[in-house]
Amino acid sequence: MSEMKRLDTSAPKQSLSSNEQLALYDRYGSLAYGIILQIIPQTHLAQEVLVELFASRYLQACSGQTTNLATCIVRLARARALEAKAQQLPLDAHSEEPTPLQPEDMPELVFDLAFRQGYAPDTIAEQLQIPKAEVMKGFHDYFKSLRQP
Amino acid sequence: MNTYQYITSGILETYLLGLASEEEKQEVERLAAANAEISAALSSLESEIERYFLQTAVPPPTDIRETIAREAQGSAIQKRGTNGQQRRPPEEPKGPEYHKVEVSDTHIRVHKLWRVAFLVVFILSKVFLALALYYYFKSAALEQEVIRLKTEITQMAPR
Repeated sequence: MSEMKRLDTSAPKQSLSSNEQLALYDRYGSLAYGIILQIIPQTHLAQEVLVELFASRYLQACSGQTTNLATCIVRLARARALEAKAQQLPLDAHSEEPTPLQPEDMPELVFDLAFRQGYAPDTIAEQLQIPKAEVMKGFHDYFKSLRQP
Repeated sequence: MNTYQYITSGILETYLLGLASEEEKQEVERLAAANAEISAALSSLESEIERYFLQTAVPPPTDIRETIAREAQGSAIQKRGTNGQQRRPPEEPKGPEYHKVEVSDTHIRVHKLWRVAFLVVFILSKVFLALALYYYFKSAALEQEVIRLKTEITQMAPR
């Protein structure tokens, strides 16, 4: 929480010191690496993205955010991983077709397509031929299903 | 759409995961500022998302930390140079930038729960050792007692 407090009290555009970057890495490095690996299974590439995320100034974007630090890092890790995946593996980005939809699998599928594969909710709705509201509901249902034992 | 329908529509999840459009983001921020219920749902969801991703967390190799420290230090020095109005020759356009990541190390990183598990196993082993010693000496004493009693009985028996 100390890193978070430091960030919250600082000016929004103030840059992070290397110690603060390392402190954030110590706290959220594993979380970010787990997310990056979900999107890029190649470990060498995932590690490059992780280094880039924590060694560069991307983390400064979190200092002016209204959401908490962990959520911001989740978003940044996903965005950087998807960007790297698009650059390194352009063929894979378009080779995956959504699988036939089963109602019980929909929340998981929607989460996978949007979070791990980078499809926009509108695109998912179009590809799955369902209303966008249903796609959005899929996100809520996915996290709801995680709450159930 | 009432507050409950809004909270359960999935818009808060897409906002927190960075999947919402700019218009949707602004809408969520405006409504969260005006509605305590939405704001509370957002906070609760943030914690839930953090918990979920902590479950899927993977410890990176230990050398990554050193690489980040080196790179962060390098960029800090470069930044100080820029702030001090130092003139630098224009850099030649480079190809894609690669980060050197060492993967050969002699250390392993394990989940922190292993520390607790190790302590529990260590304490239990000490307890069992103490119990084993206690019962060993007790049984030895009893054995001596049995031998003594047997000897007494033998001596008292009529010849």
